[in-house]
Amino acid sequence: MPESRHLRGRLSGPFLQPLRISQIAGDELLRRLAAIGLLFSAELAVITLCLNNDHLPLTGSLVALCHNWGTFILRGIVAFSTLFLAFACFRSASHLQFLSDRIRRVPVNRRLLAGHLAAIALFGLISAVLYNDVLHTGILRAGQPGALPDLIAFLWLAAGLGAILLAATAIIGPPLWREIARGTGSLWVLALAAALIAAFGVNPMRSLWPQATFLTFSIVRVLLRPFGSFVADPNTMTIASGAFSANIAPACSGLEGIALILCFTSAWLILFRKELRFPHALILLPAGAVILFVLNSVRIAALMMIGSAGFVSVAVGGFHSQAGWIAFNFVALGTCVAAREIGWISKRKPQPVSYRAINPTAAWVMPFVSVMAAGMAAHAMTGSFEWLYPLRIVAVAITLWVYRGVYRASYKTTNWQIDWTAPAAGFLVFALWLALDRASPGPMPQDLATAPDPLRFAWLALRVTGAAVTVPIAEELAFRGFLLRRLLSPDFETVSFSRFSWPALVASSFLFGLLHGQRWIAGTLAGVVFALVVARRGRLGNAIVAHATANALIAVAVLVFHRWDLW
Amino acid sequence: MSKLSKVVSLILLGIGVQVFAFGVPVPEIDPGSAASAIAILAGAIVVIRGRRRN
Repeated sequence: MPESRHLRGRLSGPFLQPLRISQIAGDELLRRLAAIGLLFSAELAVITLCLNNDHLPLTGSLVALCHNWGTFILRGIVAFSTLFLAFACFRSASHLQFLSDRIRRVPVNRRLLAGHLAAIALFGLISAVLYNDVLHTGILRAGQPGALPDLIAFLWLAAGLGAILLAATAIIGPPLWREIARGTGSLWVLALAAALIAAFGVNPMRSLWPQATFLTFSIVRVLLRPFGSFVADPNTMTIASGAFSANIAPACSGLEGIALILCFTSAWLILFRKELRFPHALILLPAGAVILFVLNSVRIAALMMIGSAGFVSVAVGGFHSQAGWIAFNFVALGTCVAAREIGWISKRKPQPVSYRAINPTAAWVMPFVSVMAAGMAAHAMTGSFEWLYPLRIVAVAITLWVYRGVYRASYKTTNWQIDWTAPAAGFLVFALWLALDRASPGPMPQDLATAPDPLRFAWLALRVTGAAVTVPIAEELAFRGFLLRRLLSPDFETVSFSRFSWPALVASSFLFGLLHGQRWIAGTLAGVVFALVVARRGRLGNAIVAHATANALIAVAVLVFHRWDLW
Repeated sequence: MSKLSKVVSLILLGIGVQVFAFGVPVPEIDPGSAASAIAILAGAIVVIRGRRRN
C-alpha cells in the first residue's frame, strides 16, 4: 500500500483518537526532535556566551536590523518551535506516532551533518569579523556606510540559516519534514500566532504591575504593623525604618513568580494526570499562585526586618536574590506533595507506612540536594561573601549519616575501589578547567582578606574540605551514581556501573555542566571524563577520587597562585 | 482530559513561553541562582517520586 494512502487510511476513523503524549515520548521521532533541540540549544548557548549584541557596529541597514531585532527574532524562533511541538503533541500525536515508525528506517545523514558543522564554522568565522573585527579590516567602523557591511551580514545570516537547514534535514530527512507539515496542517499558523501573542503579551502583563504592586505593598504593610517603627508611603511605594528603606518596584510585584508556578503546576497536572482526580486537582493552580504571591510579600517584609536590624548587606546582597527562589521551590514542592498525598486530589491509594521501607533514590540524590539547598540558604543568610559555606559540609555529613544504612547495604554492589585512572582523570579535568577558563584572575575577596587570621584560616580550611571531600561525594553519587544509571533504566539500582551508553553519558554530563554556570563547557567535559572513568572498570570510587583530585588542584591554584576567580 | 483542561494547559504554556523567551529578569527570580534552584527542585521531585522498597 502506498504510504500516503496508508496514512489517510490510518488517519480516518478510530485512528483520529489522539494518542497520549507518553505514548510517543519514547519514540524515534521524538528522539530525533530532541537531538535537534539539544544540538541547537548547545550551539545557541555558545553563540549567546561568545557574541555580545552591543559589539555589533551600527553600520549598514542589514547589520542595524540584526542589532535591533536579532535577539527578538531568535527568541521568537525558540518560542515558535516550543509551541509548535507542544501543539503537535496535543493535536497530532497519532500522526507523529505513524511518522515515528517510518523514521526508524531512515538513518541520520552524516554528510549533511558534516555540512552543518562546516556551516557553523563559517558562521563562527564571519561572527568574529562582524562582532569583533578580528581581521582589523576597519570595514565595519561604526557609522561607515556602504554595501560591504551588509554583504558580510547577509553571508553571516546565510551561513546561520544554512547550518539550521542542514542539521534539520540531516537528522530528519526532507520527505519526513514534508509529512510533518502535511500531517500537522495549519498548526504552524496557530503556533506562530501564539508565539506573537507571547512576544507582544509582555506589555499587557506589565500593565497589571501597578495593581499587583499596590496589593503587595498593602500586605507588606500589614505584616510589618506588629513590629512598629516602619513608615510606609503609598505614593512612592516605599517602606522605611531608620536608615534602611525599600522601594517596592513594579518588577517586585510577584507576577513573574505566579506565571512560573502556574507553568510548573500545569506541567505537573498534564504529566501526572492519570494519578489525579479532575477537576479537583485544578485547585492546585490558584492555590499555588495565591500562596506564592503572599510569600513574595513575606519575602519583602523579612527583607525590611533584616535590613532595619542592621544587616543591610545580608538583606540586599544575599536574601534579596535568594528568597524568591526559596519561596518558589517551597510552593512547587508543596504542590507535588499535595498532588500525591491529598486523597481528594490524588487517585493513589494510601501507602501503608513501614518503618523498614527505604527510598533508594533518596540515598543517591539527597546529599546533592542538601549541599545545593545549604548553599542557597548560606547565600541568603550572608551578604556579598559566603561566610556560611561550612553549612554545606554539615548538610552533606548529616545526609550521609542518615542514609548510612543504604550505603552499607549497597557496599557489595557498588564498587568503591580506586585505581591509577582516578588521579590521572583528576589532573586532566584540572587542566581542561584552566585551559577553558576565560575569567581574568581576581584578588582575594575583600571580606576574607580583612578578616582576622584565625577566622580566615578556618574558613579556608573548611572551604578546601568542602571542595575536595563533600562536594565530590555528593555530586558523584547524584550524577554518576544515580542520573547516569537512571537514564539507562528506571530500576537504576540494578544497572552495573560499567554499562555504557553515549546518550546517557552526554545528557548526564551536560546537566552536570549546566550547574557550573558560565563554565558549563568545562563542566560538561569534566562530567564526560568522570563518567568514562566510572564506566572503564565499573568503579564509582574512581569518579569520586577523580573529582576530588580536580577540586583539590583547583584549591591549590586558588591558594598558591591566587586564582580566586576559580572559586 | 477535558477540553477545558486542554485550553487552560495551552494558555499556561503560552504564559510559560512568554516568561522564558521574552520576560525580563526580576529580583524575585534571580537568573544567577536559577541553576541551583532548578537543581534542588528537580532533585527533590526525583526523591519524592522515587520508589520505596522494603
